[in-house]
Amino acid sequence: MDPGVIRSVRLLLWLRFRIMFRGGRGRGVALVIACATMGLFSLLAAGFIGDLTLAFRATGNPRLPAAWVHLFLLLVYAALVLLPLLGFAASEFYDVTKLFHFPVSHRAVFTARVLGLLAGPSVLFFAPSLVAVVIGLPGGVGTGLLRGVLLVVFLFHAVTVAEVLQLMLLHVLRSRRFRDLAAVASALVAAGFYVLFQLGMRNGSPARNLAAFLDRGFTDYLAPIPCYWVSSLVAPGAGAGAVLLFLFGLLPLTGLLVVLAGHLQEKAFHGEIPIAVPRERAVKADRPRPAPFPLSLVPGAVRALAGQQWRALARDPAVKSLLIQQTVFVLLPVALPLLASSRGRMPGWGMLGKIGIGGVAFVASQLCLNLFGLEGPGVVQLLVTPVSRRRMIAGKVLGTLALGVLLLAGFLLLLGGVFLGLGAPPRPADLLVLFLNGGAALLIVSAVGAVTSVISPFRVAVRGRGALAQQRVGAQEGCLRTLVIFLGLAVAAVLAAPVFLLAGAPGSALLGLAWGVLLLVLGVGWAGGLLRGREEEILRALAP
Amino acid sequence: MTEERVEYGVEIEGLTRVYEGGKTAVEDLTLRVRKGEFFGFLGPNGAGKSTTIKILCGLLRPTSGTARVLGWDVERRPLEVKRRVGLLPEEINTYERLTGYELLVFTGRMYGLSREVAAERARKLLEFLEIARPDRSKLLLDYSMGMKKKVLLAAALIHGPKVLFLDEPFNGIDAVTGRAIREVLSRAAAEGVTIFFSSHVLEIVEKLCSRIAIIHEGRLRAIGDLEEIAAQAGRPPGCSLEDIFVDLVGGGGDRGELPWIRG
Repeated sequence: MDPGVIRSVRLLLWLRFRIMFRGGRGRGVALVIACATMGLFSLLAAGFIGDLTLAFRATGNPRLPAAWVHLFLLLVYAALVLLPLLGFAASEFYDVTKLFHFPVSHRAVFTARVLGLLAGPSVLFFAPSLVAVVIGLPGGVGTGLLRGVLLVVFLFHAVTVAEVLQLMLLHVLRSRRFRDLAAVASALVAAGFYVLFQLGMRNGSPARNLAAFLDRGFTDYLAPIPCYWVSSLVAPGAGAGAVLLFLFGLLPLTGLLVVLAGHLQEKAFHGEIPIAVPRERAVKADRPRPAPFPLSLVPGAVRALAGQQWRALARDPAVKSLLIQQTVFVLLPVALPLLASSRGRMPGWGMLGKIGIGGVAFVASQLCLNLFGLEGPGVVQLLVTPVSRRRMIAGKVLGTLALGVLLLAGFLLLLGGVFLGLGAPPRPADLLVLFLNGGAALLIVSAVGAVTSVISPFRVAVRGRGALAQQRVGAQEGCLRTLVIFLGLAVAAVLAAPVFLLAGAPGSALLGLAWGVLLLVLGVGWAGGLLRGREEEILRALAP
Repeated sequence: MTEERVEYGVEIEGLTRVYEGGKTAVEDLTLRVRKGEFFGFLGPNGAGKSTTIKILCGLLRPTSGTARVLGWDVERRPLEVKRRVGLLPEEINTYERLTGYELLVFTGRMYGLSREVAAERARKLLEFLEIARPDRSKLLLDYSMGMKKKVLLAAALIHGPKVLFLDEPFNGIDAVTGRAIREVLSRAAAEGVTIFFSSHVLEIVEKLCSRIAIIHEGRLRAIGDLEEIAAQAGRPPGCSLEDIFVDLVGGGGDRGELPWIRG
């Protein structure tokens, strides 16, 4: 190979590792701890995977180890192909356009990128697990080595697919819309894994559940997926068909992908693949129309601020990710009846409803306790307006509250639906009471949040550049914020306690709601007064 | 080919670039820039300046026409062109997880410099551009816009380019940084580097550039020194570049009124 190419590849690999280790802001000891933790998790996962492989082998059912190999390699394949796409915004290494102005050949770039992906965190994380599967499968040393070689081909194939997809979707991946989508998709994937894990853990042993799943013969559906063409040969009892699939399926396809990736790389280098960030679709502008009753009673500035807060929350991917993750925790109690192995262990819907309402209030508190957090430097434009500070707080509270109410309504509908499916539907009146109780809890959290937002604002700077724009805070500042958040939650819990303790008493729901409204009016009034004297601190925290 | 015998740093003949979707960014553009010339390339937003610069740096292929840099055809020999040019792009698209110093050394090495030479030049450039020692070990992510521009200018200069393409180098930077950048550019021009300079700051263009081209909607409207382009715009000699520019690109019409803005 040309020494210039080798030199470029070495430099690009240096760049790959430098960027990989700078993924977080940690350096020195923090970086070592992060790497050690990742390594530990990887080894723990490998231990678990190896244990499962041995367990399936020990059952004596020859279908299980083979089906397990198919499933595990499918998961690794999906991860290796999808993670670079989802992580495109988070790692600068993936964005090949940054290299275009250097005098380096596209072949060197392709080689470095494939090697970089092979030595990337995803492959490093899964490598011990792949070794564990090979060790756990029946066969001698020779067979193990052969399986090892096949897995290296499999990894190469997977990263080539990832590279081709990245090049084909370059302009989409670089768009703001995709960054937002990736943040939400990552949260969905994480939440999905959490739910699957809970499902696996609750109904008997995970190994038995997995074995039952593997024994259903799902592998018949995997035949068109290229990873099956190698997993058939890695799996025990591979026949001539598996060899043919590998030799005449996977190998030529991988070769074709390499050629295609090289071609796409060359085209991208010469500007023949659209790499410019596509023009974002314009968000439909609101047509001015009169506000419906009773919103028309709310002052115009408050309505405008509430609308702005709602749009900021609804459009921000970080908020969506947060809501998805936290909502899964809230909805899990609702899913308990489905997860429980016997109806005898099923809790009543009333208890689940109260737990759920507490959860919804907790999720909403993540937004309510720091109302100015998403403003960032835009807070200057907000504070320069002559709107009364009480109205300013009221507008922000209303916008956030609307999201909380939506979450609450969704939760109660789901709760009702689940119990309807189980044949024990709650009465609509009971659901309405729960809704009022939940509304009261949201009002109380908002009242407390109005005050904490003014006392301890902090920037949630994840919009636009994803995790790259995380703001650093000093230890003292961070502790103070955590303390204020905990105090806020504790105060909200104490103030909301009467609502829940008296729940069920006649008229308690309406009384609770009135209590919430009273606290909100007091909280907003107090926070508005505080805001007048703390604008400088807020500016310093959000727009330094 | 002997580069020394080539008369022009940049030669463009009938250059046209049509984007997917049919938008013509540059249309039948022809111009020449002598070696060592400080050349201003002006136009309103969307005129085709950045597209032209990208074609000249081998980042885009022309739809038709030819472009040469130091005699090298940018379409046929893009790597030869890239070895000889430095680019300060308008849009910052670089590795922000590297420190300023690391980016410069990496860039130098990508252009074939040894580690020692790249490190030495990086240190000198950072000193010249007055990037303080503590800032050199900060990630680019933490730099201000002005500091990023300075580091990217240093990255464009580290390998000793023969032609320098600058796309809006003064965009979003303060007066002190602007002065440092002007000084670097003046020195480079004095050393015979061809500078192809695109900017909206017309005063700076007027002060620095010996010749200027004005394009609008992808087409060349005027080219020459200040007097020549004034004549092409039908203006008397001695009028400002801003007046010539506005005349040529058709601005300054009736924009209506804003009746609520009153003292």
